[in-house]
Amino acid sequence: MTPRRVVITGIGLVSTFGGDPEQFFQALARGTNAIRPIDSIEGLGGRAVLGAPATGFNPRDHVDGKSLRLMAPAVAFGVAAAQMAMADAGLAADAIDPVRLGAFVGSRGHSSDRQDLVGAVQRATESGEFHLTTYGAVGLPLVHPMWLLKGLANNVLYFISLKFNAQGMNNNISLSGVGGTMAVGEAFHAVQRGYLDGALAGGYDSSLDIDRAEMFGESHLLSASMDPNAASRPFDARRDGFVPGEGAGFFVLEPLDKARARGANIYGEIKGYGAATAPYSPTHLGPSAKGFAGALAAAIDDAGGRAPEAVFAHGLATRVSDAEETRALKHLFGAKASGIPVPALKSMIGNTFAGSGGLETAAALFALKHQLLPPTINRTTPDPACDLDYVAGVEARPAALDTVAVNNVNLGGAHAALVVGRAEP
Amino acid sequence: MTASNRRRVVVTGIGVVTPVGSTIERMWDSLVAGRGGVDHIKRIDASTFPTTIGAEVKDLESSRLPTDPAILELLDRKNQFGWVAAADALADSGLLQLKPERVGLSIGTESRRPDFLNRLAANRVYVGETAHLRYSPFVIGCALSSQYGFNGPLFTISTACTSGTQALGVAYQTIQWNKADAMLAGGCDSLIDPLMLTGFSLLGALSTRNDDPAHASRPFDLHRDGFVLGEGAGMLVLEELEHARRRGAKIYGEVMGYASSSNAYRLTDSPPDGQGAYLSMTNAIADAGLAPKDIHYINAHGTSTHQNDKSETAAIKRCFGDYAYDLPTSSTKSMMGHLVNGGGAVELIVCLLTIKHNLLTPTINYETPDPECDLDYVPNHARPHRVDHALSNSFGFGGINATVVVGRVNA
Repeated sequence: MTPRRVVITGIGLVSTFGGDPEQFFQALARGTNAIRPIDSIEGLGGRAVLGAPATGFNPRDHVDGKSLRLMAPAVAFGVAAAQMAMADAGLAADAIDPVRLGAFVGSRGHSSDRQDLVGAVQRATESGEFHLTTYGAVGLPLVHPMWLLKGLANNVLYFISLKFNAQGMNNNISLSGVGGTMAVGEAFHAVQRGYLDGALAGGYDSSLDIDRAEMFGESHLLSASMDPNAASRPFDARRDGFVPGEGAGFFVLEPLDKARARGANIYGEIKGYGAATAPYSPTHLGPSAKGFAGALAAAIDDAGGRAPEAVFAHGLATRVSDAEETRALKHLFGAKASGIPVPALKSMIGNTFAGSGGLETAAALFALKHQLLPPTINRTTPDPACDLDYVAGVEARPAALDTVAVNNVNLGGAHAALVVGRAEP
Repeated sequence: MTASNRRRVVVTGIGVVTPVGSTIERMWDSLVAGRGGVDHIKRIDASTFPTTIGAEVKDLESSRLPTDPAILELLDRKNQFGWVAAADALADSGLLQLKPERVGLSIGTESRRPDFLNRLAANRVYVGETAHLRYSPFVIGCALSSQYGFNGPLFTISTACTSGTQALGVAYQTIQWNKADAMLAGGCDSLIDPLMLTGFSLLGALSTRNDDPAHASRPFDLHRDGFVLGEGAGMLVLEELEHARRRGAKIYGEVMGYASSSNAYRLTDSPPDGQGAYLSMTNAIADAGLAPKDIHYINAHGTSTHQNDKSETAAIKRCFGDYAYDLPTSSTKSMMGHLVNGGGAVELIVCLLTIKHNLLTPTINYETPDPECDLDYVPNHARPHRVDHALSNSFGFGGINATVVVGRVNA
């Protein structure tokens, strides 16, 4: 069959600027900084870290209490965002044959809530040293009986399949920073090629927990700055790492003809998707110019070959990644690269990992709608290695946009990109 | 897209690490002999756990592990299995002589686990600059990409027991859709660790036949009482047919069809009517351009839990009608236990070897028929049978199902 055109007819967000997609975009367009000190992370004993927490989100508004007890904290973000996307799409319950409705989720793998294990481990360590046999005898029975399922990597996929009776093709891509992007891309291909007549796709994550705080503290990937107004500075000469964020972004994807036939609101079209992997080096797995260029070139090729008018950067704000991303864009677009704006949303909302693809693609759709590019804030000191147009400043810029690309990468060097286009009248 | 004009995908390399042998030859010999690998757990002192049995990898030579200390540090036990199986599959395929830009990876795996409890006891879980990599499920894919210079798409799939099969399905589609010419695909896992014993024991999913480990994993038998945790990895090289033929590659078989589905039912239980499994089998057979009667062997998910085996049997009957009773269906898990993220890949390799040898591997420990499980499970003994097309099922927690159909390729 001829590949079908695929459009987005529903958006659901959990973000640091709340759950309304239009308000999320307007906050970005105003150059709003969401990063603040947070001293309430469980297990850190009141120690403050910088982050951009989700706001205006109460899981109980979206999920019943019984189900919530089966969800690690970030899981509720994903479930809620997917539900909001379905509500936004206005699809009747029987509008899509359940076996032709699928779900694709980007996640980070098993998200164990360590608070569920602490009591058991303490019991097994009462002698001063941890003993496995003590743990097996008296610790294990103290563990939450559903511990394994609470953090199940495909937990969101389960809950949204159940909620919407989505029985069709599905996947859970546990690639963290690039998982949401690839989930949307894979759903796009499944609808495009006729495996599905509708898909829920997106990603969710939180890096505001003790596990991530410890992990990134060890890896020196976080910005060392404690100044909330200066810590997150993608492409700036003084960048020194990212600031953690959290959230979720989900979409409803439908074939264009079916969406039109039911008179759906169309946010935009998914035109292309590509993925590539190229770890920076064997001893330094991470983003590379080769990977950024490979994924973006594949996405543009998938979209028909025309360069997008803007690229929403991954803009991780580490020394290496931003320079590599810049190098990739110059390699790909040559002399035209300086004419393609590259805003970095992480300057405002931090790094939402598996949530990035959904949140940043949602912003790209509203940029197309309003013909307006949000800025990269804190980009005040030019870096010779990062010399493109990042829309530096705190003000949005009007721009004529037909297509926008969204770049993402994870911390191991798996890259992916999407190209989205304007909804046609 | 019709079956006639789409790119065809074949398997040109295979590698395994399993509890019944850590090479293809050793594993196949064990499976044909009906020799199980379940025993008392020896790697850790599990004596006070509700379940004290498991299927451990016993014969993996340390010389086959990665030699670079930096790589060894990155990879936990399951990922080391994955590394070894990948090296074997790639060597088997001869793919390494080619340009790697159009080669991708797709791996079913999970986050790091083995030392979590000890580190939690020490109140310092994440140590070292690579902690963010070591504890992430994607580390094995990224490390393999770096090692072999593969620059195609990378997938890391985590859908519990279905991961390996979905990773293979996505790899097949990626080649079919012309996003890569070859994919290293499979899965790896090691469940013999305190956290996984905890999680699965608390769910009541494991066999507690602690005094008789050899007979604990007994899929489809009336007296089955849960599954047995295993460990290992399976990796395959998937390649576009003409690409493989041009370079004169050995071809094990063709990946002909794939489908995934969701039960949309319960978190752990499977539906009595087998709806999700029925859907994934039916759609995978259709994707292969085949009819149900063209399938000659099913490698069942066959976990040895009461629910799964009953529901899978119902789904097979729904999908195949009366032919289900003439369709041999066996469970590799009777011998190697449940490899969870690694299971689907190893079991698809078993399907390919079944086609190659025209020999069905048995379901061992099958003693007492269950009226609700009344198919031909190839009880206890291998037997010759012409197999041109085989089907492998995987069903996971969260209600996710996936099926892959493989077929013989005539020279």
